Amino acid sequence: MTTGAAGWVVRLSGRAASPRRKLMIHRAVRFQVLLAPVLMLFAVFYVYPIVRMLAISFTAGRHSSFSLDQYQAVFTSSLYLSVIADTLRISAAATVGALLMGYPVAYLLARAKERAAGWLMTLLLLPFWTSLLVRTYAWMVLLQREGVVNTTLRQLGLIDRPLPTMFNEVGVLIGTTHILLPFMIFPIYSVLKGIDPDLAKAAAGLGAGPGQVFRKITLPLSLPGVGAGVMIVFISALGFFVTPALLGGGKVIVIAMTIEKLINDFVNWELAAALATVLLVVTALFVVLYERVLGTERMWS
Amino acid sequence: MIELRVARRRFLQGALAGAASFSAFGSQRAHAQTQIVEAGWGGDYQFKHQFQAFVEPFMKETGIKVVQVASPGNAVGIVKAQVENKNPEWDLVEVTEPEGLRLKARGLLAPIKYDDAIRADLPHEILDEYVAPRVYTSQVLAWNSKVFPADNHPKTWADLWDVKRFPGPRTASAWFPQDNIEMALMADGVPKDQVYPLDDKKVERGFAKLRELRPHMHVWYNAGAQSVQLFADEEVLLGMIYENRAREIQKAGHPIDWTLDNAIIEQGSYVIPADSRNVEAATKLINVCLRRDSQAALVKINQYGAVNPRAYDQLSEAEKAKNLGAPENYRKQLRLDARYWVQATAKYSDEWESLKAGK
Repeated sequence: MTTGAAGWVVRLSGRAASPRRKLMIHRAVRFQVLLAPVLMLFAVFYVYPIVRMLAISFTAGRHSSFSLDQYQAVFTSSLYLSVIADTLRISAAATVGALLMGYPVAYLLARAKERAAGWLMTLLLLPFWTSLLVRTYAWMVLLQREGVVNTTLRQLGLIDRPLPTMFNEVGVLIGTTHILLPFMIFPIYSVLKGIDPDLAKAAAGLGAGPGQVFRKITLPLSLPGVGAGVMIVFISALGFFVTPALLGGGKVIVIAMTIEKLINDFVNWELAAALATVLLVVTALFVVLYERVLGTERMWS
Repeated sequence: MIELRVARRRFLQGALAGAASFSAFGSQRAHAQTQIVEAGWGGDYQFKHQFQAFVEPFMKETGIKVVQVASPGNAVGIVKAQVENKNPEWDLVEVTEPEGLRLKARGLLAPIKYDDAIRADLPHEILDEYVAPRVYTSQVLAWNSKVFPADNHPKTWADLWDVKRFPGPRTASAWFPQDNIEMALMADGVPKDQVYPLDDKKVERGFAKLRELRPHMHVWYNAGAQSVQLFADEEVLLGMIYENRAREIQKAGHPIDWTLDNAIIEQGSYVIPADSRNVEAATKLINVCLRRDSQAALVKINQYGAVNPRAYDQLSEAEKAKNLGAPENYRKQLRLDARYWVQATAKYSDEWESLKAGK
């Protein structure tokens, strides 16, 4: 990486150097030097493993040459195709759920007075900082047959047999949505907070009701935040493992669980690598799609 | 730039020197005392029971230090990664018999030399050259003894399918078709001694029987600790669970009982990863573990099944009465055919996953 920076210097300094240009060169070099450790870290711990995984997925076993067997296995197996479809469906449903619940919270947070907003933020951050495993187990305690929710409902006489809310897809959805909710709220909140409040006032001054102000001003201006939240939640949900494994009761199988099973139990790393590559490509497709529709800079706004 | 390069070179030199002195320190320590790393299933099982039964005596006798670590997941993938990346962190690994045989088939293990005393005591067929026996455990039919009290409890695997007489949510292990297929065949009326040898037809019959049970299967558990929690919280009322886990639940005061009749008894095993730097010391520990006194201690401490039959010479009738490895009890159970599943699991892995997902 540093050789890259040195190359830059040579190329740039070959040109006629005005004082302004010199400053720019200086900045460019400094920027690249500062970036080098991170890039190196990414190269070693991110790019290299992914390249290796890609390579393994194109073999048919140890020390074997190029082969498309693994991909053929993925795309001709009704099991893997349905696991991919289930993963997409669950992720989409969790994203919609997080959006429906997250937007009002973000709105409230952006509009609340400073003190109230501080408290709300604490309420959001505390669970956010709690381990994913703990939160998943908490849902078990709440939702299982003899759990808090079912016991209370039964004592109130509202139900006579436990609601099937755990160890099925419903449980997975509840857990996934809840755990990813903050990733929906924070981007929307930050965009809402950045909207000039005078715009709403001006609209109101021109005779728009609160509903109209929201529809014509707030909602359209907050869309970049919504887009970012949707993207982050959806992509995170695609790779979810612990929550579906525990709350699905072994009956809901998502792609990350299949990959883990192939690696650890069935010791079929080639097929696991192919499935992981499929997951990577699907994720990349959604990022590209998002960029086409809304533009990348908005995603990170 | 020059300054920066010099700085970088100095930094690298410094880092290298640091690393060198660090590894020198490490090797000095290694010379002072041999140390082996034993990876196991964690919990009281590893850190208390096994430690007391043979790890602690081994350290006293040999002066070799044993570092016990809990494997963070299924050990097969981790051993494979360690051996293939030439980074053997573990010297001795606790695995199930099929896992051990799977690693052996991939050439990832070091051979084990048994002492003459061990060869004299243990049946030859279980002294595999690469996969050492360690202890017996058993997949048993267990039930909530408050809901199904004395004499009105499920007694056979067929009763697990009888949802009218024994209503309630059920559980079984999620890992592999093994155990589940055997259980289903016995439930379907196949006598215990005719379950093996398995073939495609029998396995398909087992799958068909399991599909009948699937709607009543509340959880396929993915971890032993999970099966404990399920029974303890009365989230499930009956099902298949490891005997030592059922014992754990009972000890904690929860209502559970089980039968050893037609249970599926299987061998917990020890393997030494190929390229381990301490094969000799690890082999010694295996031989100590298999001795009569260590095996008898395992029974005394927590009723694990001894793989050395002569261990039972040292035990009282009371200690043997409910022990799953004691000869009278061993005969009531079906010994898992690990060799069959090692070659057949891959073939049925998709069908197994589909079954659990109800597809």
